[in-house]
Amino acid sequence: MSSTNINPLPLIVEAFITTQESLKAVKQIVKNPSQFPRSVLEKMPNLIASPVPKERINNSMKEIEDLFVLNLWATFERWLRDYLQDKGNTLKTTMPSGLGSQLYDHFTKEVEYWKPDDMLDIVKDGIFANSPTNQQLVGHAKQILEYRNWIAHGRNSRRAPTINNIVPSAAYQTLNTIITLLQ
Amino acid sequence: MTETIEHLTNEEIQERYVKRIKAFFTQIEEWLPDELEINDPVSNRTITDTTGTYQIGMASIYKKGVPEPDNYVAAIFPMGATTLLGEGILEISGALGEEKLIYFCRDTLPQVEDKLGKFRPIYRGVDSDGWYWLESSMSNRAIFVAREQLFDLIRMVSFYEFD
Repeated sequence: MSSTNINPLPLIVEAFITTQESLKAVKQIVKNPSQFPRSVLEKMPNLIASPVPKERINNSMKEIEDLFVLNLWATFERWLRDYLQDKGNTLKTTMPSGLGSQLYDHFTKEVEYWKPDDMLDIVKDGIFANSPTNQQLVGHAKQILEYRNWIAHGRNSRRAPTINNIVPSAAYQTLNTIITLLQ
Repeated sequence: MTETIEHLTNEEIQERYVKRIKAFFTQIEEWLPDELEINDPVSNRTITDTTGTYQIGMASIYKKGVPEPDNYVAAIFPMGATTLLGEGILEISGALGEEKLIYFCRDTLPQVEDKLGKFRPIYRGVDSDGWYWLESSMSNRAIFVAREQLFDLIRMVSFYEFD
């Protein structure tokens, strides 16, 4: 079974929801620490000692949303690379046989250097060539990529992305739908 | 980007967003029980999104007859006229956390064409234009925010309990 038969995104989103809900629970604790046993408070010495624990949790919540989008994109990009490498398997059957395996090895190495934007174009103009509807989805994936690049490069205000507000679950829905369509 | 957005100027997108936010505030005012009130969105919030930089009002929900700061329940922050998959975004924020709502239009919600050539919207549950909550990050169901859903959201982000 090829690795691209398994969709890796649900695991990422599960980890995100777990972190998000845990932070909400911890927020309850720091709001009323006296209501909780010492053994619980001892597990979070830094946070309890902070003069502004709630603000620290709020900042962490915003931070993990962005980290989630970064991680989601990185995982999607890896999946797409694997998918395209997998599709190149047919190169192995090129005759003469010695040439086929060389072509395949070279192709597989090269795919590692392909730009994410170009890989999305291959999906848009190749696999979704006859579906303007699904091509639009790839357009949304490009917006996530732009946003990802913007976050990863320190939110440069002079190079703002097309969309600077992304709800994490909408990013998940978009990329997950594309994987489901390609599988 | 949705089809509608492509045909509108940046100013028109901003105006439409401001109008939708105001309409939502008016609706919230009607929904709230007697002991709560929403203030007039007087404080101006500066938004920078794809359409440019502009001013917009934010509003807060308070308990009537309770002194500050204990009267504070939640705040509603406009976040931008453009967002992934939708036509505007806002945040409901309280002492316990925040939740984001997206404005979805039935006609402009992105569609998916499956392998059999059948079309479906990317989110289920979008039967009319309005503010939607994406309940779980795993689900493809969007929840239309009417009175009861707003109360659920207020409960989630604050310590307030409705009777």
